[in-house]
Amino acid sequence: MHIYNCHTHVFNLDCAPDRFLNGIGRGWFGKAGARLLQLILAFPLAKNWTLRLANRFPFARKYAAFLNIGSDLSPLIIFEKHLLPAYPAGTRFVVLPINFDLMGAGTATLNQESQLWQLLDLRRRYPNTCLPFVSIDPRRGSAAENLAFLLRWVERGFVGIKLYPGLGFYPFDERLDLVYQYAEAHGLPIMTHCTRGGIFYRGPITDDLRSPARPDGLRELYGLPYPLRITTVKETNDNFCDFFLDPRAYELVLARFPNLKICLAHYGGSSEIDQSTAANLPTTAPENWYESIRWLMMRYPHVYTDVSFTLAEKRLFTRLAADLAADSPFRERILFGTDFFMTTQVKNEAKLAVELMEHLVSEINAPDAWWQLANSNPVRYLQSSVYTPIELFGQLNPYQPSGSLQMGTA
Amino acid sequence: MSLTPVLEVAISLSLLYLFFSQVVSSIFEWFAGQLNLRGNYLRRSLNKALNSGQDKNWAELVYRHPSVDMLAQKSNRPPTYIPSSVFVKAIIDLVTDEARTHQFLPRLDANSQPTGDSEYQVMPPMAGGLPLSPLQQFKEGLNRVSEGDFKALMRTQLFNAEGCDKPMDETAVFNQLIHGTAVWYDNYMERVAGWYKRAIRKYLLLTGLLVAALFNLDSLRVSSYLWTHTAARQRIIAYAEEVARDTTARTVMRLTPIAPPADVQAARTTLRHYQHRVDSLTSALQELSFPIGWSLQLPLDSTTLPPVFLVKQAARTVMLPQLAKATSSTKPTAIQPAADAALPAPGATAQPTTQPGNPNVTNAAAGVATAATTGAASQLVPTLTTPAAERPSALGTTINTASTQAVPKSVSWQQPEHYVRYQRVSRDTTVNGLMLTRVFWQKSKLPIDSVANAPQLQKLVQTAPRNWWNSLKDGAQHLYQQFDRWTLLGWLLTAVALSFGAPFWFELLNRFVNMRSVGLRPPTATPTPDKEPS
Repeated sequence: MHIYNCHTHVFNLDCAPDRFLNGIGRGWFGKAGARLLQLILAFPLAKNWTLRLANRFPFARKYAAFLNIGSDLSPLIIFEKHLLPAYPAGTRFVVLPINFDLMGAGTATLNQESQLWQLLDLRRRYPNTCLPFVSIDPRRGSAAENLAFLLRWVERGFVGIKLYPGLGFYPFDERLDLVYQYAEAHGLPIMTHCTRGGIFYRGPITDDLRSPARPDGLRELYGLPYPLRITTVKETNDNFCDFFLDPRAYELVLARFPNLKICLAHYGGSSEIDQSTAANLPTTAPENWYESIRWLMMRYPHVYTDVSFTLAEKRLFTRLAADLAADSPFRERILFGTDFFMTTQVKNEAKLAVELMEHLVSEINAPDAWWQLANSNPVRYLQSSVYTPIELFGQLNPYQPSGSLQMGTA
Repeated sequence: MSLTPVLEVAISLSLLYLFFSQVVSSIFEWFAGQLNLRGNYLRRSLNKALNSGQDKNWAELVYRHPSVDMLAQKSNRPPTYIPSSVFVKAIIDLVTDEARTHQFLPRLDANSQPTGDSEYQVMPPMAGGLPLSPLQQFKEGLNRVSEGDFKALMRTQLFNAEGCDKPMDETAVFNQLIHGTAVWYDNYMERVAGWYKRAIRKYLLLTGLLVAALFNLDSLRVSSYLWTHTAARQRIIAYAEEVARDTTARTVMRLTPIAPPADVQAARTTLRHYQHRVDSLTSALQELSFPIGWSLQLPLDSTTLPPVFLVKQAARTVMLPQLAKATSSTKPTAIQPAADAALPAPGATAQPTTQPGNPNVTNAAAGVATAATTGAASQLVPTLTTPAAERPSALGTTINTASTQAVPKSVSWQQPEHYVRYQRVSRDTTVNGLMLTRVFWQKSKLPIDSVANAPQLQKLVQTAPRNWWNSLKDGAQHLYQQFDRWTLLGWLLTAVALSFGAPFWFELLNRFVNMRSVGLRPPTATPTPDKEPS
């Protein structure tokens, strides 16, 4: 059996737009700052000191991680140098691009098309182990144009769709309808970012973003009337982007495409898991993102989540183990992923998988839970009309989705 | 007013700029090589030309194409130049690739059963089961390229290749397409070279300013000095004519900046080469009477030294306070006013108290000594009143006729321990018919024991070397004293001039020398007719 890491990134600094690192220093720390850091990172001693210093500050950690590995020359080198050696031979990696073109942070050396071209080149070299997804942004064009774009790359060997709503769009954008329709019909897996923070939209918050058009025509979202505003804390792009990422937005999508195979990544984020107190799931989508994802998983048969980044927090292992227990309704819906290389500053990539596996195998004596997480669930998630995992070759009856879980069984 | 002195000053300045602009170019080329400015500029220019909107970054894809990638010395340093043939091949391959079919098919075993592995297959665009011709493949690929600047450019190239008067076969059109694209690329590279020259002007200016400050190349000071010193000007003009007569090949070879080094060792060698070149150039120009460079020698007031003192030569280098400073430079700089003729070291001279070019002030560089201001200097009979022009060796070098014996420079490690006794001695003498009081130091060696056993001798031992901070302060103050309010402007003018480059100054020098040789064209009675409008 092979391990499937369903959540990795291999893009480098060439793919990041000019103002990608503007989070530090409010504007002055742009690409020039990044280049300066790159120069520093070229010297091993200076690199060690800089990374050690960055690790002391949570806000700098992700930048340090990005610069540490992202400053490598190409996705191919990142893949070969940092990712492959951390896993046993034969491990499959879902490689996720991110479309930075429309995030309002300037232009990148390599735009989305070129980033995808690089991933295609990666798959040419590693046809069995590299499974690239194509990133879709509805603002790229009309619904038909977005579908055409998807088809062009699917024909070339891309096996899934990556959405990153935090970069400035809502998942229920009507320009994604044809993409969802195609994905549902062909079992094409979708991976979407679903945790607070991360990379966020840097452009102006326009009226369209404050009053998005819902498929059902209602003029409210998450119980808040239009125009949407952050009232509890000072409104910034960072926290406004939570409107884009909220798992409850997918209810509007899944209501129309109930068989959509979609993974809401990161399990809502560790902070949401910590704050979750509900013993039983409510009848309506809860505010807590972790609970909201579980609510969607209970409601729709092909909703998944993954443990990427979350698995870096060892204190959450018990909860994950409980969800992977034999009697858990979520056992078949959780995927293994690490969010490489965002997690490298927290823990070594090889250590991430090993620690979780050891916990599942040794401490709770559930080796099957590990393989459920790392193999069975990903195989089911990735299977589509364009890609058949090796485990399903020769099966006359390919995977059929299990029946919808009933509410309140958790 | 005769224009000859103006021309001569201009020639002298051109010569100075010619030499140092070569230094500036070489230094800049070294830095440009280290930072790969040329390669990065080419990359940005190609990005500007080929990228637009949401289309692929064609320029970056070209750089990642194996045929171009292999031109780079290191993988993170883009090549400084891409030949048009390589560029065109990469572009056409990338466009054609748009039409190719890329598939990841299940790999089959001997029984035609899938093994579970995927296999990458790339197929050219086909028609009727046969692959299309290269031109048709290119057209297919171009059709699939997103609309943008790149597609428009390639469409134009294709249109030009097909748009000949007589119909051509596909091979000829394809060859014409390759040729046309190569011509476009070469033309664009010419423009990029021009843009690059303009873009680096500011860096050259900055380098020029650094060089001007480092070597004290003050255009105003040099002009002023040369304007008032005919003899110095004449010497420079003679040399400038020699340079102008030099064969073009030799001069061009000399003016060519040193190529940027490939590795660290080569870089060090090159740096040493530059250092040697600049040092020798500065010295040579100083010998030609150019008032450039810094005087690193501190003024020495010999009255502060006792008439008799001892210096111990020990395992540690002993630098006698003022004398040590006096030995910090082995060569006197161009303008060294010999105000204090009592200085014991040949290179140790006092500060200039005069401005070159001011006829009312005695010019020390020309060998005219003023009344000494120090006690020791009062022993000098100030009778040196010979004009500078009549003293052939005086120009540009310090005439310190009163110094005949060097004081200790330093005591080296290897010498056995002993004391050296210095005693100031004055003696009247006649030099070139001039009456002088010569002041010099008599030196004798004393064994350690003799001093150790004689308390009266121990009092004479100089044992308190100045600390480094005071030495630094004195040095800084001394450098500051060589400043005046116009110095910065003089440097700026020099920096601007140096940024024009050696070929410019070589050409200008030639013109000036020719003009001086044949004279200015006299005004004609009939004015030159205006050019007729074309």
